[in-house]
Amino acid sequence: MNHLNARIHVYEILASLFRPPDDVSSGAEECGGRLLERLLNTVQECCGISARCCLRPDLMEEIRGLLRAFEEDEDQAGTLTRLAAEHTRLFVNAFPTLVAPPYESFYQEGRVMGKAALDCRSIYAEDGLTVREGGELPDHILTQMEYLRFLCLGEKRAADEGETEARGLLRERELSFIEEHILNWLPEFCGRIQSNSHEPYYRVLARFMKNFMVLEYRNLNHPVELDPFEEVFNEVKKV
Amino acid sequence: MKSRRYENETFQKGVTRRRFLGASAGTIAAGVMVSNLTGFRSLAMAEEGADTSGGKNVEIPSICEMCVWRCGLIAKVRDGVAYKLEGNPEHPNSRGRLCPKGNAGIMTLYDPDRLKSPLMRVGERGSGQFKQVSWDEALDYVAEGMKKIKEQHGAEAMVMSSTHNLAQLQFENLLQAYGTPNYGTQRSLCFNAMVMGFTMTYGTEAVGGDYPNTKYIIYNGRNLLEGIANSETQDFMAAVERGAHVVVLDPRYSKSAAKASEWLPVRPGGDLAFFLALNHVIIKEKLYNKKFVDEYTQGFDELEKGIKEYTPEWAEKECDISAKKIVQVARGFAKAAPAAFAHPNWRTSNTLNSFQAERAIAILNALVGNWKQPGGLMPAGGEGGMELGVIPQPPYPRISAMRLDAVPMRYPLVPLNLGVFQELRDAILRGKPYQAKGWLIYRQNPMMSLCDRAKTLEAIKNLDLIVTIDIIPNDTAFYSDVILPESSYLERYDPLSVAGSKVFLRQPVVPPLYDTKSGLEIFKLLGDRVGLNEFFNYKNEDEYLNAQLKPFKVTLDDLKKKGYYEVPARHEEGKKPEKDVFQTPSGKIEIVSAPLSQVGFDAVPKWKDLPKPEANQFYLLSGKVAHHTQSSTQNNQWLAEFVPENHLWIHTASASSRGIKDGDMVTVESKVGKVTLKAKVTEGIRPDCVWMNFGFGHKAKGLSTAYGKGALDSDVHESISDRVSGSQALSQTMVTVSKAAV
Repeated sequence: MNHLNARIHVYEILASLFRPPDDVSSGAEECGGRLLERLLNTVQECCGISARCCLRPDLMEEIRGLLRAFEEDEDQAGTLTRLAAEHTRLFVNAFPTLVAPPYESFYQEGRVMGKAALDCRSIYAEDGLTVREGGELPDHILTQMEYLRFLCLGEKRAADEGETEARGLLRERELSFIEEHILNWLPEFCGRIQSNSHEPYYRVLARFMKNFMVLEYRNLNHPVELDPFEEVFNEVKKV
Repeated sequence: MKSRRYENETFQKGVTRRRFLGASAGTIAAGVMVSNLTGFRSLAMAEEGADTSGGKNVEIPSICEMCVWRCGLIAKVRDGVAYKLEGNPEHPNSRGRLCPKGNAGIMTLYDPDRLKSPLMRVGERGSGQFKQVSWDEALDYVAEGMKKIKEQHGAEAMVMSSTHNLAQLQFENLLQAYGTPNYGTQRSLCFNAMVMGFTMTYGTEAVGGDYPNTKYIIYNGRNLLEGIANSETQDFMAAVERGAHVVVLDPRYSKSAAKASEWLPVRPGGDLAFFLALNHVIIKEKLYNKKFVDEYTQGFDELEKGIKEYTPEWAEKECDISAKKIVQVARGFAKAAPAAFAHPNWRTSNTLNSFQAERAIAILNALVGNWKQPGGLMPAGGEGGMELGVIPQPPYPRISAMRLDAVPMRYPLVPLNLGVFQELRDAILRGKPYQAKGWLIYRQNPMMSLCDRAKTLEAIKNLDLIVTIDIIPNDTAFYSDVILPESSYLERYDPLSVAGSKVFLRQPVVPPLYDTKSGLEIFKLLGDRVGLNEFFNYKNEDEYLNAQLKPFKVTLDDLKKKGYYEVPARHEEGKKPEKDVFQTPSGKIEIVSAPLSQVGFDAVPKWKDLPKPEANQFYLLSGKVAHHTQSSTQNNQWLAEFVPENHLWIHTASASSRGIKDGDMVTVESKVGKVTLKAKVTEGIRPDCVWMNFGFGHKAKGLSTAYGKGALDSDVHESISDRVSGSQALSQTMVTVSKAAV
């Protein structure tokens, strides 16, 4: 799997991870442990050597541990319910306080449908996209991940057809979205999950996500053909 | 990250990178992606030429729900986001103005803590552990539970309760079709005494007076500047400005007392003595309207006899208002009559004497003959008189089970529609006369509103199923098994609302932000699942509203545009109004009430001694502030900026003898509980009273703005019920106050 394909997959997985983990409507195959497994495989395939990617050895080991736990788990249904409750507590409604509201507007204005949401919506509209009825709000993490996946799919298409200029423009677009939106709030959002989640599943996810997005940002800013991960590893460590 | 944002904003003032690139990159992306968005949950390709901006600038008329006054509003919406709410000048309840709460409705809509999806409990009850589920899963679970309860224990084992909402109509439809007699409303915690006192005297409620023409008003604790009733609050201010004489009885120096001509800091419960003495003076000095009394009332002689002992000098001892002042008020009031009224008040659940105090107030008005006179007392009009269309449905099943709230067994006169909510809770706890098994709660917060919260928490342990329908994760939701999220009032349709001669529509000003539904839809979906579909003969809200509109010459589309429809006035053919016949057993205003004496209560108001605080104790009083509605608005961030928590009002002298300084943490303790909150040391309260604003002290940690702020009076209030009206006596709990240990 090349780097671009891997990015497409990672964005897809990240978006899925913000669905309830026991949501069968997205296909039981995609639930819980399966997603983690795909995430691990994707990143591994993409970068070959784990130590040089955003999956630093200890993070990698944590994910492997989670996977083992899932495999050995004799009460998978119970585990999924527990994860679903944690998902609700972190991102939907919680007693106590909602841990990590998944809306960019919240981190800037303490509310939903603030300026960030409107700005996202008009960015999507420029690309002929709209938030579907019953979808999440425009600045919800899931929607933002889907948008980046969309751009990467476009980038892949351009790459396949040798449209270098178009690909460059799409990469610029990805970069500016990350810069103008993702970096505004994702570090705090992930930080809240990392410090407050009861479940290693979500702590690991948050840590991975934060690393991955910083990596994306650095990589889009300074494209290095050969080994993007080596280049930014030191930067990632700081995050 | 803040600085990056600013940089970006500066950058955006010029040409942003993305906007510069927009067209080319976007077109390319879109061109290749049309067929490829499968698996996307949130994003979709916009249809050719579709407006993706969320809509242009629009103004949409609807109805407020920040309290129960139902003001007309106009929502200003830009790009699909509501940014300003204003009063609708066409609506008689708002007249172009909204109160602080109405203005802050935007923040209730966009509160990140709102309920966003159906939730089901996965941990122990009260553990706060829930998981998001689909509507189907949640509704199926609730319906199964309700069917099981009905099969195994009878429909009466299901308790249902609701507050005063437009969709309450359909909630009541559900409970009647299901067949339970156990309906809990807030009424006995609020206005039972007022409604019953006036209904038993006049045969109807009186809601206030003819403000524009009045010269003299007496309020007994009614605090229109903090317990806001928008249009009446405006009337009150106009009357004050016009120079009407306003007397406010209140143990606390409320905002309304501050605007009044006279503040009379009455002893809690002493109000009955005050009004008995007013009646005494008016009769003794023959200041009453003899012609009116002879023609329209019955029982005057008995009153005259009974009232002799209630002299101003006697009353002074009970109410702490001087005999001289009582005489002065009686004379002033009588002189201004009939352009004078003693207000019926609103929340009158204060003491065991409150029902008779309301009777004494009703009689005082009758003595001066101010009924329907310019400047006098006015009957309730409001929502009556206009018949909305209904959807045909079968008759409700006959209910033979005894009510758990002890009406009419213990409370023979309390109307079934008022009920005695606190008794319902006590019956759930006792399991007698039978054990309730389930509780469906619509937009109500009994975990906070019922006195003696510890008792409520104990009672719910006896229930197998607790379901809450609400828009915020409040304390009742916290202890529920299933939570069903209603759309906020700015996102949904409700049944029509009648105000004066107009029919108003509540409609969405923005689409629902989350996976929520209107009450109309929730009750239908639940009704269908419980097997009561023939009682919910509508497919959707439009169909329901169309049926309600059927008698009128207006389409739903027109109503959506204009927000209301004015029903043309019927031609009256110049008939003179007939002589008033009152809907009482005698057809007259009943100074002596036979129904009262038939069940052993006093037929004319009589004084009964009430407990008084010991030397080290205080009366615990509670009430409202202008910025909050009950316990439902404390999480609104805009309102919390003004009033983030409640304080205990305590008199300067009482505070200093206990070493309490303004802002100190103090502990308030009664027989049933103890709370700690900040003290507000003030001259504006009687030295034997302390006061706190209801609605704070949330235990539901899901409310990140409100949680842990202030304290809840229901933790300390004892549950004491008046046998006549079923009212909870909310000013009869004695407490001690001490500086809290740091």
